[in-house]
Amino acid sequence: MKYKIADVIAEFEPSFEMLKVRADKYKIMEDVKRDFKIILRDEHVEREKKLNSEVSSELAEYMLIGNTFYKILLRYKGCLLHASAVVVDDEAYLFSAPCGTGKSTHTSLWLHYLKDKKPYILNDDKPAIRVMEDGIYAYGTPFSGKYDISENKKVKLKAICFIEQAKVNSIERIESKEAIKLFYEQTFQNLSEEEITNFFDILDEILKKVPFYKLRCDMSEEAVQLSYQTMRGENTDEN
Amino acid sequence: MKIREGFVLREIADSIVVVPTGDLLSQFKGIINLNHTGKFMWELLQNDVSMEEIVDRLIEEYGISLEKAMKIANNFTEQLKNANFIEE
Repeated sequence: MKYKIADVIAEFEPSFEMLKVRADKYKIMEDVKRDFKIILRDEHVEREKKLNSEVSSELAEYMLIGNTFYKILLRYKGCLLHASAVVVDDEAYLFSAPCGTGKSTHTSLWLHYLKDKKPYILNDDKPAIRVMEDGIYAYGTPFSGKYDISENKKVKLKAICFIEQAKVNSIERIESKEAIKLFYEQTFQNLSEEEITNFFDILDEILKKVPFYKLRCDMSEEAVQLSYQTMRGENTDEN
Repeated sequence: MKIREGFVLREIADSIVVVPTGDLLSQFKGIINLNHTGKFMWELLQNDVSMEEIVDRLIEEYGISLEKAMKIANNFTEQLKNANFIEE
């Protein structure tokens, strides 16, 4: 089966429901040439299950195909960021942090407090980012976290924001040195030399075109307004 | 002494970073930041070099005193050894 994910055509054959269901909306029926094919061998699934006894066969398939997809995507100037991506005014804001910090909580607060602007979640766990001729874009993908919250859409990437929990809300632009470290910690680290070179080429482009922020926040409306107004405002300054 | 194989040094934006790849990932995590002198010494240490050679090259490159060059080279290689980046 062929799937168009993040504007590349990947061919793979899911055996289990979890990936089948999630990948369904990315399926393409036309007779187009694939960019690459992912073949998952039983021994890889077995090895993954041995490494972590809590991993079922269907979860192993979902994870391994996802990992392989994102590694190959590096050749297409695309990478993964562990983030919850929310879209407002047709622009994507990616909130990234280690598990359990509250990225999904923060983006769900955006859905609530900014509902007049019809926001939606592009991907709640692993959006793809691609460097295209006309700018940097975020994409929904089938690799979308526990609850499969994702849209098959391509949206201009507005800002990347790393979150920390705090009692007092604040937001600041961060410099590339800090942005590189935080981004690297929330993407694949298990890369070959060639892959890491591609990854840094991509990150270099993103750093040139997309502002990076650090948000310290609680779960209030004030936190949402502060992060939205600050990151949205930056554009008006530049124009 | 020599730095173990598998680290990738990269200049990106205005930073110089080093990350582990391949087999090294089971032992090392994260990203290392270097300054220009650090990069210079890191590159020397891609080949088997002695402390004297590093010190000589630092003096040559940066026109600093022997004392200062020794201090910089010692600090750097100590840190690398403590982090287990060096094969003797």
